[in-house]
Amino acid sequence: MATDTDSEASVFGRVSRKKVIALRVVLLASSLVGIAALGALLAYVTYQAFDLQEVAPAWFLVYFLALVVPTAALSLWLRGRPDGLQVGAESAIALWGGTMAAAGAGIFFVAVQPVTWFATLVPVALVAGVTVALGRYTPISETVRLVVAAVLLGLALFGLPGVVPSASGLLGSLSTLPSDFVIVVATVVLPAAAAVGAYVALVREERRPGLVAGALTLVGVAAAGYGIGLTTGFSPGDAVLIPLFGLVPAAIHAWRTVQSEARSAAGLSLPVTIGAGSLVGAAAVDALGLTGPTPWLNWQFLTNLPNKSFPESAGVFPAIVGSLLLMIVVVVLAFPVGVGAAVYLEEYAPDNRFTRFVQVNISNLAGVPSVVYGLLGLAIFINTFGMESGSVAVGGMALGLLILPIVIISAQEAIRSVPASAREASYGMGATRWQTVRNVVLPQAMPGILTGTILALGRAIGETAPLLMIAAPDAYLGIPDGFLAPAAALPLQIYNLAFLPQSAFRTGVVPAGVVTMLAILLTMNGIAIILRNRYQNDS
Amino acid sequence: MSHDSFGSDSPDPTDDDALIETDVSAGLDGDDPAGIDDGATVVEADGINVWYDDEQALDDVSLAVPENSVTAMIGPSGCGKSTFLRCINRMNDLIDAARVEGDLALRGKNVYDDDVDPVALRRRVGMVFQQPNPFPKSIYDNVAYGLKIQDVDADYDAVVEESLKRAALWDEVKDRLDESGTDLSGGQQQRLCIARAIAPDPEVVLMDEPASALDPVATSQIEDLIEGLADDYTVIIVTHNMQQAARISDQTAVFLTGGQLVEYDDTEKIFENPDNDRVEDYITGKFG
Repeated sequence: MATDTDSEASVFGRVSRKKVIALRVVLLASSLVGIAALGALLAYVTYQAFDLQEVAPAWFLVYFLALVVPTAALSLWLRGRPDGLQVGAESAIALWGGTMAAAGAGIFFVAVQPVTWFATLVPVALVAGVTVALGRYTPISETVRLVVAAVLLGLALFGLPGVVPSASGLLGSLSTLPSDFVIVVATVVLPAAAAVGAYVALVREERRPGLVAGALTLVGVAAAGYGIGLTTGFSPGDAVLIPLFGLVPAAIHAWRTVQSEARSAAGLSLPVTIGAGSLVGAAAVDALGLTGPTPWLNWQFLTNLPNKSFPESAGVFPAIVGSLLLMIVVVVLAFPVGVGAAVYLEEYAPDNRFTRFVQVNISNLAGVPSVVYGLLGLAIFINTFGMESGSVAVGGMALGLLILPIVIISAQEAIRSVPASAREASYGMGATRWQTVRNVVLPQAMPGILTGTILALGRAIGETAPLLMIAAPDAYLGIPDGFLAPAAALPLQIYNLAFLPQSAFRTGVVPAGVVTMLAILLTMNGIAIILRNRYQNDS
Repeated sequence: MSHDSFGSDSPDPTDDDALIETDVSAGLDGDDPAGIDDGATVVEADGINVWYDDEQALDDVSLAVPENSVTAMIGPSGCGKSTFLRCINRMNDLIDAARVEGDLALRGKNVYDDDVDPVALRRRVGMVFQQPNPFPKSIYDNVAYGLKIQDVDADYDAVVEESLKRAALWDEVKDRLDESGTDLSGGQQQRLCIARAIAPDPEVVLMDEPASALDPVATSQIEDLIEGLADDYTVIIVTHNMQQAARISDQTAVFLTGGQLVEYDDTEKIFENPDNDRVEDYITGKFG
């Protein structure tokens, strides 16, 4: 009997097995062809950007032994511990992402002077405070309060042109203003320390540890930043951002891991091993007198101005600043509008012809070529409204329109994934549509919405065509000072560098720019993936 | 703390005035709906028809539900008992394809009148669903949700404690009110949903097969709880489980195929000596 079944099974197996295997191989190949091509390109570009062709094989061997072998061994060992490798990866990402965030914040304060930031923030904070206080202590309705807040905010930021000067203008023109260091500590470090304190208090369910942690963060970051400022070339105001973003998130992650009994704290040794391995490798290379690479992608490349004649001293700093400012404009425009549209379409819109028309056309807009959005920006913002061509605001608006349909569609998907039972529970309690959206739908959909928005931002940060159409300067020599100034962007700068006469631009500087841009993009995608994973764990 | 000491003086939105100030004169007069003569009538349906697109889900249903009692709706799947429950707090409004005709009065006021805001209505009619559906918020915030959205000026801590006690959940969760409601077991989640439904002190509590997704122990806890709730609330419960209806309800309405209300009477009468042969067949398991 058993033999019968066996022979039958093998007969059945023989019929299709070859085809199945062939199909599997073809499908596998088609999955890998894109990744393989991109991997080869990345490897080539990295090779060029770091100028690795001159390097002695012994140099690679030293770093392989000092850095790669210990890290790989530790990773293997960590796989056996509960969540070990995950903890290690998280702490490494926290350090790396924190460093990138510190750089981003530092670049922001290069483009927007701390004094301008202070003069804008103080009136905004005052108006917000007044609005909240009115809501708490007077029976004034929400609508009236919002209108009052909007009017006050307009007055505070813009004044009445020619009649009343704006509050921020007045503040900015004061003769004695706090130093950059004080401003950054008061407006960035203090809220961050308060958030850390609140988080610690929430986790420990006690006020005291929270107060202690908040105070420690404030004092520690301020002191460390001042110290870094004194010993390096950074101004104290910028230096504060390094410990704040670079170390505080990693420290919180480490603290939570040590507290948790289910996760192995051994994973925290992974970033330590990487750091120590790099130092040991550097020391060994130095002691052995091995020639290392002279990478095109170095500190000078990231912080210098562009240079059309000398590839060795060429930099992309203004383009990095321009890209960051563009992203801020894109987020501020596309996120609220996109999420609002998604909420309307999913939660409010009746299912009729008009809604279907809008829906179909949003999908169509997502496929419109980016150069068309550039043309739109040129026609509307520059020619019709007379805004300055090539300015950050115009570029940001064109890119914002470009990714708006993507943001809407991904936000719709996130909202749709909130279970109907959650909405029913809320409506059944007598919640209005808006209360349901705000209290139930949006909190549950937010990780998905953020993931989609970050991925869309990644698309916007690499766009070149719209910026060409609105005549963004491709080799602007100065650093943009605010949102109305013309600014280059990274992809545009790379495009321009590729057409310079000296071959070193094409073989060194362009690859360095590409690697810079890819590093930013991959970091953003990494954050999106972490958010998505966390979302899936929760639901 | 007595149950009446919270929520009853809640400020209701202006839209709700029409509903709130309606005089409580509803009785069994009118077109003689099936009914029982003890106590005041809270919910009175008169000729309710519901269609989902072209398909009729309820066919001319009329019945009157008395105050502070448990009324069970039983019947085979697809007979319209859940649809009827959802007519009472107008949850069917959320379904585009649903169309409701007929009168359904809450304390004498037709809830399908133009001047009734379904949001205001649902603040007076709590609902518990088949699948436990706590919000992914803390236990405290789950129970306080109704108070917060209705902007009730009350001692939230006291209301949350009282509601959880009434839902027989307080002893199990009093030390971890700030943990997520979704971390509780299925039976605890459903009791949390009941606490959430009664926290704003509604007049009627609708329950749509509240124990069908639970194990026997959790089911019996929920049943005990429902019997206790009838002291203060009018409970209308849809159930598949006839023994459950027999155990906990005062009145039973039997729906059979086609969305018709076949018989509605005291539970004892329905289960011991029903007038309708089809009901008898259904109760004894020969049909359905």
